[in-house]
Amino acid sequence: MKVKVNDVELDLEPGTSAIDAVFAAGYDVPYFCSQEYMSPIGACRMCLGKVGAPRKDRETNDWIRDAETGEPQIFYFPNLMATCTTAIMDGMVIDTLSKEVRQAQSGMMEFHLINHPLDCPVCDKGGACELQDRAYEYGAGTSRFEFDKRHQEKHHALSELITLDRERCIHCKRCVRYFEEVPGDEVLDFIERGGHTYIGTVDEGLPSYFTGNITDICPVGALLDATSRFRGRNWEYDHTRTVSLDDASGAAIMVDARTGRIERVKGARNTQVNLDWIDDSTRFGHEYVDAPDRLKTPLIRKGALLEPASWEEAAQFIASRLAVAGKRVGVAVRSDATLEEGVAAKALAEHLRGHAEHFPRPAASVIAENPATFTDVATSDAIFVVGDPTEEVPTLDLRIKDALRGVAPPELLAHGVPIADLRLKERMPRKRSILTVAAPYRTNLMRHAGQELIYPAGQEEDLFGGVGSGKAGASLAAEQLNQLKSALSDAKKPVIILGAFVLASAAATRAAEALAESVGAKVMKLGPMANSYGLEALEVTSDGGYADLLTQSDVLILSNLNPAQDVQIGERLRNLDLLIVHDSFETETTGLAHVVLPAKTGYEKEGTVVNLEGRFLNVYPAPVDSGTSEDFIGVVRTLGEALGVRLDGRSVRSARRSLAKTLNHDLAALPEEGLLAPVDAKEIGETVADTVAGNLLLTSSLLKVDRLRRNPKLRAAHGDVALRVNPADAEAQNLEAGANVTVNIGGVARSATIKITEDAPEGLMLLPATFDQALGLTSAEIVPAADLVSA
Amino acid sequence: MSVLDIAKGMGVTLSHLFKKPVTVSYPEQKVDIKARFRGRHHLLRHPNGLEKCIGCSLCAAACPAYCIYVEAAENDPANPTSPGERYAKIYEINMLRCIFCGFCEEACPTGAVVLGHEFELADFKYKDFTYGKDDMLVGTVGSKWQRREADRLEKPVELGFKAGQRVELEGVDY
Amino acid sequence: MIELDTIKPYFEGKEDVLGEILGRYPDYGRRSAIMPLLWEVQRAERHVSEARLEEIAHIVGVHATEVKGVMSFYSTYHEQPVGKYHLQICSTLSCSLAGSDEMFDFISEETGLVNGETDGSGIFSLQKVECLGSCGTAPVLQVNDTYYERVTRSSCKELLDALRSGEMLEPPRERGGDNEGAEKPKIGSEQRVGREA
Repeated sequence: MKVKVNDVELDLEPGTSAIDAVFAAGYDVPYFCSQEYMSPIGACRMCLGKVGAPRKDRETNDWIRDAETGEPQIFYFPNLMATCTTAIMDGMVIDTLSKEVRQAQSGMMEFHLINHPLDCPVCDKGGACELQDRAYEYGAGTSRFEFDKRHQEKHHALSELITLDRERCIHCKRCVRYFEEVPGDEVLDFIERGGHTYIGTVDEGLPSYFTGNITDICPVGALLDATSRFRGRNWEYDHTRTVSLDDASGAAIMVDARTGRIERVKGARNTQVNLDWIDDSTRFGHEYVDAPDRLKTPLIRKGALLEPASWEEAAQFIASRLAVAGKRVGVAVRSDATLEEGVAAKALAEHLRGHAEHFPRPAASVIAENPATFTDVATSDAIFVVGDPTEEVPTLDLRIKDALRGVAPPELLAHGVPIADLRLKERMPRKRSILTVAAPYRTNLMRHAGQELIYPAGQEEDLFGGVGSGKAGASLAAEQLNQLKSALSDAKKPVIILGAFVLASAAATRAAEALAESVGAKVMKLGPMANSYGLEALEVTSDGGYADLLTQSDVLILSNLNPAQDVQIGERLRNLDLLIVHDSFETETTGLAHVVLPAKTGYEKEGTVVNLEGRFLNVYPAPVDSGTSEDFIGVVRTLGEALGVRLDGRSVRSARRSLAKTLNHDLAALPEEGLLAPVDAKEIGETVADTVAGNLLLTSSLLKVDRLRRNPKLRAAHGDVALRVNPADAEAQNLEAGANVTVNIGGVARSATIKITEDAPEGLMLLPATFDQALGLTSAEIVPAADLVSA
Repeated sequence: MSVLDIAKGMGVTLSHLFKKPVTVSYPEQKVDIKARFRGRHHLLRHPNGLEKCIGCSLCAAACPAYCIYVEAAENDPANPTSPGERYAKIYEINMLRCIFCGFCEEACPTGAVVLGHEFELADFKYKDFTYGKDDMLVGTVGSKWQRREADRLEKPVELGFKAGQRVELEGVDY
Repeated sequence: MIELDTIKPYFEGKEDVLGEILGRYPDYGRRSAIMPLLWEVQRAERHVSEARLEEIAHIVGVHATEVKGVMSFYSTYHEQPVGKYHLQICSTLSCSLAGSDEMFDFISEETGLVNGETDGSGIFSLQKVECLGSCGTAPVLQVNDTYYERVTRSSCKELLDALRSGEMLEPPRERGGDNEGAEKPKIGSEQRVGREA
């Protein structure tokens, strides 16, 4: 469709909005209410333009032409139009530069500023504020409003994490629409009417996992991140665009640090992965990085005590001990280690003739044969989820909800993502019927599902077998499963999503893949951590797995792992010839270590990770003061120097050289959206004997329980680690809501708070796992915390 | 050039012999400086005792020498430090870096930071040149060294200048 | 007694009423039932308490915030119990220019009430509301469901005195206005339910 914007002629797809035509032509109009991934509503009236189009004569079906020039005559709309809600028409003419338009825009600006306080010096948005920028660009510079501004509450805590300043609000409705359109939790709304309108909620504490995004999209300083309140001005922060290592989605984040401290994390845009959205744990869960008990220098064991030392001393100590230690060496890194760290771990293990391993690693491969991308999920017409994506990979939760709206992700224009996607509407009907969610307990996503299947934990294999064969299985009726199978078979783009409980069993995963093949579905496997996919692809694996490594080594080098939280394993580790622990904090395992090396957190590393789609993403380090902390690359470099060898992976560059040989990709400076290059699927490992009995299910958790203690603000908002118990069980076991208990799982003692909820099925309690606990069924013993004290 | 010209020139020199000298025998004598002289900064207070500084960091942003560091915090509503929600928890100026250009004063939206007249800032250690809130809030007279010296001798701080008062320096009394 | 009322869900045992209201809308438009449900509660209890609000949210399947948003949009729904005579003063532009602020101050002085307050004896409630849609006859004062238009100081005083003595004055008909000869709208639940039946 031919459109003329000022003097630029463009050819755009029908359905494009006029505002996008303006931006595609390289011109600019101000806007506050539009947001790329939300419906345009024309609330702020800032994007006004003079819009007109030629008209056809009904009789002749030809353009009505100007008598003098013979050109088609342009009929302008009688008033200026909000370009964000106007679709382009053939031959449309848009004028954004005339005096009339400029005057209207500056007039609207004046209206917006009438009640907006002159708070900029104390406002956390100052310097990165859309209203401030646009007032500077389009405002008249003066106001004719000489009365009192409207006064409202200045500091209203919407939740522990979000502050609302009602005076600053310009009623663009972005936050209200966000909650309805993106996570589907309508917990915020306009209250009152007309000049008294304000944003408010009666759902205390904003019960949603994705509340923080409203602080990113607020065009003014009304909604602010309470955790970074007054921590710094926007121009003082060092902005680092990197990738969240909290889960396997590879969501883009912006880490804002000042004077060596992370002050806040914001969502960044990755058009293929997280769009603009991140979950609250990713956003607010960074406080642990600056915890006062962070390890900042290596420690060497001298008798019963660990004493601070330099890296060189630590390396010398390790080299001398390695010379006399036993020969069975194990190197294990946590699954959020970068590919480069994986190379380093492998090189070190190889040099010491030992084994390298990563943990947590599910029994089944996390690499799918016919892998689905996030875009596949968002455009799918039949989704079968087994697991709890909201807790495992929160980004996926939002992308599944995208699919329910039935609007495919927008095509990029010359200026990037379209500002106003006219296909999106407020309160769109959701195609719930395309979504089936199965889990051993009631999950958050089930609220949005057409069909919910709750099956007994541990029976994933039967579930897939049942769907495949059409027979009743996993305590579910045959007709339910048949209906699901026909939905999957009839769909054009079916996707099956396999969560942690499926991957925990190789047999179940095999059954799932068989089902996927029979219905022609793509498969998305939710790996447990940020680089599970990459480390498996790199084969940082050993035959016996992590459990064997722990029991059959003389020398153990562990990075960010804490196996000794299990006292039985701890006893075993006590007798090692040499235990080297690389971690950011003191743990049970560092207490047993001969050498403790300070580790960088995910925000401080440079490297590459591969998300669950097989997308290679660069991780960049934020300037954080963490003493002499190093990533595993640094460990291998220093150790190599002490041992007199030059190992692969002694630096990011050397690791990438080595990776380029095996993966055929140059991993330096990948594009922002990453490089989608799934590797070939591997043979699914041998079936580990599945435990089918148990009274406790260890689940994934959005809130990382290992870090919760050091994330006080997140903890205040979302509460402590909860042991979810069915009301019937609670009554039978005499458990009270809110009571603190200790949960003994094998040799691990975990403290938790009882939460009584129907979400937990009868006879099964739910507890979020730590990084070192394998997900799935287990037996546990509940001890009231008071008993412990008296004992 | 004639002898006469030389005599003329010498005459000018000689005539100054009998004029009052313009040099001041500082430090025995006080220097008379102009009201708009830019010396050490003062952090001012409102008449009700609250600090004018709201910790907005605009002075730090305007500073061409990057010598100002501000860290803000939230006021305790029951016992506020400044009006409004925000105050400066840390306010530091590195006097070694400062070029006394006065941009901070221009940038300040509340008139909290004003350049005063004190110029006797000499000291012995680098760290002593970083002036914090305690060193600059109204009521503090003299440089760090001068105050240390005054404490030792148990005498009031003696400033080596006298100047006309500036209206911006509300509440500062030399 | 009041406490007992709030504990017991309003629609418990009123399945027929609930079914009738929900039956008016298709399943995907269940949210539309928020308005009649609010009205049902308000008609019976003269206000919609927070507990009722939560109950309606639960029935319709939305968050309570959304019900609150709908409820606060309309000045006809009340969060607090209102008095026998609910005085609502339009404060939007036309009425404001025609002196509604002065009218508010006058009534406030007369009754001793501030915005949103109900007097101790439960006779008067005073509230500033948004546009009542009668800009042509500003300023407008709405008492319960009756409009009093072009209110002056004296007519206001007269009205308040009459209300105090328990008498509801017939609003003077606007000559030539839209109300000329119009039948007074009949308001009452029997009427409405009867029509539905």
